[in-house]
Amino acid sequence: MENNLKASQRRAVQYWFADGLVELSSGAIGLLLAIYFIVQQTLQASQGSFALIFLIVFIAAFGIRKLMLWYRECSTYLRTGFVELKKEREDRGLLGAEVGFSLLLLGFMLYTILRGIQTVVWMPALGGIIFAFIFGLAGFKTKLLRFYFLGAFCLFLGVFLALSGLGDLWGSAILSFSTSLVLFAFGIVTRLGYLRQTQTIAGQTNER
Amino acid sequence: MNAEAQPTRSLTGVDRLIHEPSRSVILAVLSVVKSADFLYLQRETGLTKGNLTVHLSKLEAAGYIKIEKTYRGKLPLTLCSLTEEGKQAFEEYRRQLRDFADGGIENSE
Repeated sequence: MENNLKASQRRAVQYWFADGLVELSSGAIGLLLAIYFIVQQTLQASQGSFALIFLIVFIAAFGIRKLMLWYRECSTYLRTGFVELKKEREDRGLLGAEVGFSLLLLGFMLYTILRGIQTVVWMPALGGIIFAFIFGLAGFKTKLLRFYFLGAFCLFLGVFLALSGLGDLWGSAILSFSTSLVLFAFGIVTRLGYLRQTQTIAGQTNER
Repeated sequence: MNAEAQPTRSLTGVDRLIHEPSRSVILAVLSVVKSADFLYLQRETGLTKGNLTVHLSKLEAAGYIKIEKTYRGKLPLTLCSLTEEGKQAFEEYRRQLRDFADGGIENSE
């Protein structure tokens, strides 16, 4: 019985990722980031232009997230119901980990700037570490193995690209593009599995 | 040795309202999320609408859960969440189950 209860709790915590839409939308955002880095590398434009491109990418990423939430309302919530997860700030351990990691990263960047080390050369590695932390945290919270795999993938690829001498922008572009491809792959597999296992029941209402 | 002389482990002390498979699943789900809707709980418990309504009403009457009826767009939505009293009752129930499994609870009757 205890195992059944734990399984129910685990499914509820994993529900946010059950339909694959998070991976698909995150993959799209990763693709946008990759395009941004490629544009920055290849175009000879002013700083103002890059700020504008970044703003467009940021707004587009925001739009993708909104689109994902809207589609989830039309699809997932009608098929399998709605679950509102607890806010992260209610979990002091996770909040502490996030604050600690942010401070560590900030400290590292300050150290490199003060010591005259070019932080920007390590951008792919830093990106890999940040992605690895985000996916690792998601894996820890949900106990979904695919996030641990994604975290390890980003970490190793980020460090490899930083050491490869490709440069910060090409390295970051390849990191973002590769991560988005893996996210798309996971998203498609998860989505297909979800659609196969669930179906909208005709006339189904969410009312007791 | 007489078998009756040995302390018999039992679950007589547990909350009978929670100690029902469907209701314990409902509380288990609500204990890890902020809220869940009727459809999700129905799929998770495998109950019919009528049965789930009865179980939810019992839990609500005991003050263990809060039921809020709202709308998302034009669709009616029944949201359930755990109250503080429900949280404590469920934690105590889980503790008693663990104690029972470990051989900690003995027959008090």
